[in-house]
Amino acid sequence: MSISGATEQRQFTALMRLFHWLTAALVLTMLGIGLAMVASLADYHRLVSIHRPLGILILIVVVIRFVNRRYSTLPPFPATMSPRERSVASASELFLYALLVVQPLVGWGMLSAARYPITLYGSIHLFPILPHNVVLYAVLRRGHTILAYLLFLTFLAHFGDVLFHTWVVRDGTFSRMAPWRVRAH
Amino acid sequence: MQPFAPANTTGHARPDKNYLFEALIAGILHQPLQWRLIITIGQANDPTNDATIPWPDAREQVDVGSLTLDHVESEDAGRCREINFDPLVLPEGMAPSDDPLLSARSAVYSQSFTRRAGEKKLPSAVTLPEVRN
Repeated sequence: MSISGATEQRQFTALMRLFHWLTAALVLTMLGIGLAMVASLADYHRLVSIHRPLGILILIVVVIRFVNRRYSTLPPFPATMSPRERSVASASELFLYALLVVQPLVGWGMLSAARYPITLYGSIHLFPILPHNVVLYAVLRRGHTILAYLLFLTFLAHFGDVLFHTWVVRDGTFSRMAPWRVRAH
Repeated sequence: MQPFAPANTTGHARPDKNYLFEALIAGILHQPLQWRLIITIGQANDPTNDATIPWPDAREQVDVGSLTLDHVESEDAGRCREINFDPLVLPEGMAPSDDPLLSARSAVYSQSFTRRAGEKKLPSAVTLPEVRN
């Protein structure tokens, strides 16, 4: 490894990349299960039984990921990005984090407000975080759907932006977060 | 669930179409309604995923308890509107069978509960002035 390669960090750290792809897999699975769940009858119960613990897992992963990010060194933005683009990228990243924390909390909160048993696995139940109030449940249930669409649209914007930078601008944006190690050139 | 006494259906000649509903409200004040919880012990090849196929009559049955309703209340006082009567929300010790109808009911009840929860609560269409909590 050359001296410049060691000092100039081009990629996110291995742990950050692991968290990124783990979150991507979990969230895309979750969006698929959510869609299938509300449209199914015979598989509804099985899908809901996966949806609830998976949501809590995403909440835990995203919180750990966010803390890890705070204490990690980030690679610099590609030189092709203007200051305006950089601030938009940072803001949208923060927005994605916010959605990923709020969405599981809204799911947990709505089940609490309806006093549904929040079964994680077998007889392991989660405690309610809101008072029993069905009007609150109805509002949060609606919010859960709206947030799911918003999350999907934000994911599409994020995905499209990376494709644009990687294939059109050709500034190696994807390699910053590639699951494999990319050497600096 | 088996009722202790068969429902009284002798009044069906009456013109009032709500006679069963009203007879239940009037009757429960005089005598509680009761059902037995009967468990039928299945055998290896008895189907558990289709409730329309009856098991052989010879299966052993165990009377494990009774359900007693001793009063009724209207929506104004009760919270029936705020409960999802989901057949898959079960107490400890009871597990669902592999009957897909249970999952389908769970899905539909969830939908109706959600819609009901989002509606403005109106005064109950049925009032029970004679029933006190």
